[in-house]
Amino acid sequence: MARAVAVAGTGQTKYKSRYPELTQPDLLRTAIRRALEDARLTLDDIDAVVYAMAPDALTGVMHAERWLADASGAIDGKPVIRINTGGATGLSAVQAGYDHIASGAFDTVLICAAERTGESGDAQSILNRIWDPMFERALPLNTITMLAMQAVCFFQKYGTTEEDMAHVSVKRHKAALKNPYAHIQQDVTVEEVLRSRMIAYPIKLLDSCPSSSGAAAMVLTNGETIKRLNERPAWITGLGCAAETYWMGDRTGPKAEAYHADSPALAQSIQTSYAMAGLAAKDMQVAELYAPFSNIELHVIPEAGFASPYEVARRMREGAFDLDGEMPINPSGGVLCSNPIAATALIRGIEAANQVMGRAGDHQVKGVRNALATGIGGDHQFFASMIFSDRPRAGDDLS
Amino acid sequence: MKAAIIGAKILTGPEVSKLSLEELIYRAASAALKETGLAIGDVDQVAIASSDGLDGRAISSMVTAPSVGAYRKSIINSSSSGEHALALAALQIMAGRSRICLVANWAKPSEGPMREVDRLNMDPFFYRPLPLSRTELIGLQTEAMIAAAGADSVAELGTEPQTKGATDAAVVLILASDAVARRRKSPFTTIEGFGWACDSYWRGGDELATMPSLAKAASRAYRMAKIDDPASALDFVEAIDFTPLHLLMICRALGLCTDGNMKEFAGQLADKKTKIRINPSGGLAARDYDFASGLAAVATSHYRLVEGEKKARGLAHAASANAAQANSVFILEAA
Repeated sequence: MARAVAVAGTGQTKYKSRYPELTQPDLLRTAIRRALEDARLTLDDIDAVVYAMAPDALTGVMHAERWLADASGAIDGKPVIRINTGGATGLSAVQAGYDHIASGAFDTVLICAAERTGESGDAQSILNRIWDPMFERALPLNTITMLAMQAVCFFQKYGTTEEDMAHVSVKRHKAALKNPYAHIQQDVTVEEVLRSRMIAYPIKLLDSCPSSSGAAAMVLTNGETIKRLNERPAWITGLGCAAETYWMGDRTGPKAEAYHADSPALAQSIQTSYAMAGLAAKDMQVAELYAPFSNIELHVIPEAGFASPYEVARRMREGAFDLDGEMPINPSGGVLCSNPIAATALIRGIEAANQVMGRAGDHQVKGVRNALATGIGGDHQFFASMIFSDRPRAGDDLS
Repeated sequence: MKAAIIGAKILTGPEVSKLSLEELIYRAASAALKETGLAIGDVDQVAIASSDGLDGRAISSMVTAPSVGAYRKSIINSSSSGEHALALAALQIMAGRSRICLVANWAKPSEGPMREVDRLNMDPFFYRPLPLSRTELIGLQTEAMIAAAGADSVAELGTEPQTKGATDAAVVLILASDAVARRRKSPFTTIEGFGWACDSYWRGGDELATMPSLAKAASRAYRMAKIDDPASALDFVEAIDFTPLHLLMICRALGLCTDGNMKEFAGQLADKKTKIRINPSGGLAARDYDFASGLAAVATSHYRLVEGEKKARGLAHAASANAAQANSVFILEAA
């Protein structure tokens, strides 16, 4: 029997292009301090730390988890482990934190991340280096062109259009206006999105996530401790993870292992989460889905079971996924409005947990009992998902 | 529930340098599975440890994960060290989230200028302008250890580096719960206790000599393994020892000697006459695989236990980061 694991507190900084006033350690400390205050704990209460850090080159210091050990609270001989699964890192780190406690080895664990994507020079040049140097790096690929190809595949297979993508952008930008931490807070129209600068067909500037700097932290604890900290905690009831093929060439053509329009591994990850929690898509009241470009949200919603891929665009226009819609998606504005890479999937977890705890502020969805969070890393290769609920999983040990 | 090691493979030797990184890892994983009598389809979780800097690419777990069969499978990647990937795998098994977990870690130092790669570890403000690499840090640590131990106490121990340079290797362990391991009726070891901890990045203080993070990691591992007196409970120790003096300080942090008997213990260590066998496999001098040395120490301990030392108990020590800033301890027992 696994021990039940609950979210005791969360903390975020404002996401923005640059943080000249804070060093990397200070940026990290800011989010940690807020999470500890939210949890009504101090660093002394933390038994172990999980540090989320994606490509080393974005920070400019190899194995920066060692440099940031002091700032992350891993001092005085405290255990710290770094997780790196690309864009999924933040949620993979929460999964690692879950295992720390569910195993019975630790009681209270801090998960944290700081990223300065906006200050890392040319992030897309760095991200070109995720592909192998012999075959695919020279195409040229970066995370924008890679996912632009996904959009074209999705258009071809499911009949969506650039205008459908623009509607996603409009809705997420509108949602971000209610999120004080969001990087991009700008009301945009469909026409403005369609007229914005083309980055890589069909992805335009306003279909794209920003390069954000910022930090985020979450405190997890066991069932016994949470009783005295939080009357309305978010419990982790389901989690899943799955990897897809690395090679882009294996995602197109007649012999494709997984056609680029779809992500069977993402669906597998989410289904694993649902199965662990004993829940289904219909049981979710809100979802924070990792979608750095407009087209990706149209693709992830069906993989999560919230709509058919043939109907998702129509339902998006009808408002089904709005804050007051039948299945609110990304009420925080999502990755489209804030993307500090290592922290991004952690933020999905934080926002989902906050929705369950009733702490999401102006973008709170009413009556949330279960919330889904997802993360995507690498070249659409690593997928993580997690379900936060207002009650522990049946059968979990509450000690 | 305990985690058990049911298979292990260290793939190294001059011929592996001719292999691509992907091929090296694939062959090690295949060999470990073959030795264990399992197929990749039997593995439900993969825990790997990749280093972008050492592998020479961003998010290097992307290209290395397929080599260990991480396709439509759950994967976790710790970029802090191989021993941390092992800890994560053990936690997953203890949490009931995994039945069979494959752990992999590697290093291919022959591919690049390690001294320059080491310098990328340094923060941009204070350390990077200094000419620091692993060699200089070991030197600084040795000086600190001599000062802390007292020159008289350690006169018999050398301060020369144990290793003449890291070599290429891939290390793979196959983990299962102890219940699953028992049903297989093949030799295995159980992880009776484990712990890991980290010291400050700023390596100028007393911790450089005394390694409090190692003492903390050991304390956690001993508590989990219900060991009160490690000096009598352990049969051997496999440690990451940069110098003979470093090995003495490791033994001190592990509680195998004290300040009071350090001189006597140093003499026994120099004569290889300690009650507990210390580095019977040769330590770092025999297996310096850089980023993969820690997991190799665990694999070596596992081999020793399943190949003859029934009912014996061994301790594997792993160290990573600048001047062993991070330390881990695993207590293994032959089933």
